[in-house]
Amino acid sequence: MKRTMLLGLLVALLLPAVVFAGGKQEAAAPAGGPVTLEFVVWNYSLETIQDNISQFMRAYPDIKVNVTDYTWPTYHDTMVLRFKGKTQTDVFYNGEDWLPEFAAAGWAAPLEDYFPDVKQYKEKTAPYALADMTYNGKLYGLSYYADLITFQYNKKILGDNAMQPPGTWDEVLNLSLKLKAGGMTHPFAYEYNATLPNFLQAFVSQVYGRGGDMFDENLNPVFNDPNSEAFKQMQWIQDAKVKHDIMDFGSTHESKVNLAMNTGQHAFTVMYNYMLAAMNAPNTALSGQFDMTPMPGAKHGALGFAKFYCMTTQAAENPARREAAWKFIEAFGGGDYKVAKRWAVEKGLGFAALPLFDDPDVKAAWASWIDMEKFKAQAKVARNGTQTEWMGMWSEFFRPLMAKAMNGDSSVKEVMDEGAKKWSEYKKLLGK
Amino acid sequence: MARKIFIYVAAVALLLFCAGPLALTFLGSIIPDAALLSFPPRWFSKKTTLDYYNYIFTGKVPQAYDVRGAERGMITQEVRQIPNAMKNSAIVAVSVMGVNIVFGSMAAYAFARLRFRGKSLTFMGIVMCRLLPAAALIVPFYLIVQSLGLLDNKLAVVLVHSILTLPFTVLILSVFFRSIPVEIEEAATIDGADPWTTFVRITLPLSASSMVATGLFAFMLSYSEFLYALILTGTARTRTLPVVMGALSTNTDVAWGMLMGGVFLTLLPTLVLVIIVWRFVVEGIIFGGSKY
Amino acid sequence: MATRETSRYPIQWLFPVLILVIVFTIYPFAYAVWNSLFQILLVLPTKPFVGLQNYLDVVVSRYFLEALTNTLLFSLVTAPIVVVVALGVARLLLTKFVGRGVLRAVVLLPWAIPGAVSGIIWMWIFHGQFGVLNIVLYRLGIIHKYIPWLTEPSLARMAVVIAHVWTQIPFAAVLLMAALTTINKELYEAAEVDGAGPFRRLLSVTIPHIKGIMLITLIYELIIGITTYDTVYSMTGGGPGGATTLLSYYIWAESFKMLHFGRGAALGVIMALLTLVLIMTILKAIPNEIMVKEE
Repeated sequence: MKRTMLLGLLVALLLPAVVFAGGKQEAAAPAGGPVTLEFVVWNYSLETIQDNISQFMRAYPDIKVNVTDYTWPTYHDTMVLRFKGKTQTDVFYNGEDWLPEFAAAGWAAPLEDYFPDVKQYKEKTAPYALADMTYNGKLYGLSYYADLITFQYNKKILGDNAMQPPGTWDEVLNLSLKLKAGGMTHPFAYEYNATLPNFLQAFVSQVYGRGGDMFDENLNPVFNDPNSEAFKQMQWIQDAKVKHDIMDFGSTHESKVNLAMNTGQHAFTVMYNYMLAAMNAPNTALSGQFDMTPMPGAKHGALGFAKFYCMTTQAAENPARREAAWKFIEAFGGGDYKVAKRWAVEKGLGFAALPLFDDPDVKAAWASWIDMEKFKAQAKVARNGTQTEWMGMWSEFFRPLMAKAMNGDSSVKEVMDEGAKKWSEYKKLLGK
Repeated sequence: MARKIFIYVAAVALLLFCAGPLALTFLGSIIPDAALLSFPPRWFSKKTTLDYYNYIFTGKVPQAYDVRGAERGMITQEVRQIPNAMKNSAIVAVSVMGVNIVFGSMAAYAFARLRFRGKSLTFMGIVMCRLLPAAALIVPFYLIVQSLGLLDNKLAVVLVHSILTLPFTVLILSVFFRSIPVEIEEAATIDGADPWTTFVRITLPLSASSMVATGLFAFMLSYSEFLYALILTGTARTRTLPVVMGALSTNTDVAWGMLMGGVFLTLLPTLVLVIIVWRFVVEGIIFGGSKY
Repeated sequence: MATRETSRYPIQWLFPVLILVIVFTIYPFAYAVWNSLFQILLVLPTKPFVGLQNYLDVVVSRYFLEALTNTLLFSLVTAPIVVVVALGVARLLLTKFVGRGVLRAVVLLPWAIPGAVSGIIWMWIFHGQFGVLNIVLYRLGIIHKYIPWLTEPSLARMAVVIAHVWTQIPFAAVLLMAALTTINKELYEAAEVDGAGPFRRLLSVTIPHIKGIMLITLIYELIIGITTYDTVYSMTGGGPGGATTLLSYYIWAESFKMLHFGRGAALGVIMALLTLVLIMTILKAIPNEIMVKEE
């Protein structure tokens, strides 16, 4: 009896290994043969990515590309895990706020050092995007997507109320109060979610609109100064929520803001610019009613950022992978910018390549949801955010505090002071 | 009579509470966005449509997207991963259920009926491994799976899900096994049966309904588990349903109706399983429960 | 005599479970506890030993107190609600009535939905602008202005409790149903003959017999309440303000967003100890046979 039982156990334990065998990924290709690049992305429009890759593989038959994708909200964290576990990764999507920490941790490789040719693209790249892809003076990537965070509004609602789009935050408040008096309970739909990195970026964009900044040129915080534009903007938001009750914080993600705006119960919002295309998409309830206007504030500045292809140090150490990675990155992020152009035309994604701003196909495709000249004008004055090795970590710390200040649970002074203190701590620990 | 009324009122309330949200997802998947988001709300002002389901299974773009040619790109094919993800989830969940029923019951029997040194310690050890929150174990789990070469393999997910479910299965089943009157088993011992035979011939049949309950528990936990499935799968080939659904819920190109359609589809395999399994449980309850 | 005389370790019964436990528990536990004693900042090359500093940092950190309070409240409120409601549901599903089969299947469905997706569905129900609850109440004329379910802290807390309870009912109901079927019908009949009404029967017959399973369910729900965060966070993102922040989220946040793996591990250990204390307290407070020591 016992022996049969043991035997049965053994079989039962080995069976899964047999059943599930063959599900393992192929290991790295041997030198001399075709190279397999491990490409990691967040899964925005994965089918477009895969189609682009097929075209690439046809053009370069000796390079095979394996795509692994993660969802956007979990991308950074899963990449950290991947790097920590040294899972083979060659080219990956990188973001402006992660470059310093990934580079400092030794995971991202400076393209400039290995492929000086990449420098030719610098002058054809929008300044805020170029700044975002540079660390320690070296270029780390080529961009496929760059965008702005803009002020968006429902032009039909404003038109029906004989209102002009606001030029300052005081005007935003006035228009909102008027709309509120007319029955709109919360004219401003704010994307309110402290767990998302763009929660900070949207705020910074508003500060740029006012012509202010979060830090000075020595990377010291200025936002805790009550006379700074940042402090004033945070106070504005808090007053808008608590004093005037024109703010709605119920939408925790841009997709929900999209739905909320499409119920017609809100007039204003601040989001990634491509959301304008999403809100105006043909299947939405109020398609075509949305537009952007320069960010309210004295200077109408805005935040620009870039997402780009990066090469890992892991790939850089292997000559064959290195070469293949460069061919891939240049084909996708450089050359005649056909990948970026495709994203722009098909999905309304912004871009870093200056030539595309005047491209007739892009202009035509964008005409249905935005005036390209407006976008161009906003891009001209856009700046990138402050990027340091500790910005990501500090952002994680600061965002919940921002949420509390906006909601009136803490005073603006308290929050700004704490944020400044933490920034200085990080700067002391990790700064040069 | 008051009792009957009370029962029916309670039944209706329960139906509304449990099924209400799910009926809502179905409604949300067939009512166009324009109606769903209207204010003042008029949900039934537009015709309902099965376009979203059509797209998920056949890739035919819904009519609403054909209005202006330039925007046809604002729909994602990611949602078409749902059928395959359903298959992956089902395979993993059934395997986990099997592991729990077979190995979990064996371990539970040992704790319920056998005496041995180190029993308390082993028992504590097995049950306690659920104490540490899942998020704290991500890195070590990932490293272990990677060293076993099982990254992006469904087997890894089965193993991890098993470790998440076994402690509870062992705990519950040992309590259930112990609730079976000892005299019945001792009668078998007197007849010369060893523990294994007693287990198979007597204990198992008598605990059928609790075995099914814990098996169902293991299935459901595995089927809906998100965190480890996310970490351990990297391609559409092995991805499970919760991971796909999680990605879709924050994907801007997924219309609300599309998302709701996906959620509703999630329910179908479970519905099938439940219908099959419940009949067995019911019989177990009717015939097994009244044995003693 | 309740058990056999064997003293040999029944390895063949326990082997598969033990293997999994050893590989996936001992090493990860040790890894987590070990890491909690070092300052591991991903962007720094060194990992100095800092002893219990991480624990201290976590406890005095900005989020800890609020998240801890929220988590404890959340757990201590949802667990009993789940058990009580599930007991009622289980009892109902064992009574004969027309449509019982359908209801049994329907009750199980919330179980199959991943936590984050349940959060999305309930967020839709409670949303301030396009939420179903608001729409229904508005159309019925009960309200004239939409209620801000998710942006008012106390309402938001109530909403996440409801959503969480919804996700947990199927599991608890199944367990309690299985437990209820072990009670001999004759005991009920005897009690009825003695003149006991339904409530009395519940107290004197039902509960004593299934106390073990009820307790296990309660404890399990407490553990879930302490360690869960995906349903709540997909509903509210932890907001408004910090009203629905939960401790478990920060383990993830400390390690993967703040890149401080040492602190993330420390928080994990703190939570494990918290859970342990909670469980021990309950087991000591309520007499039961779960922790019976073998003689």
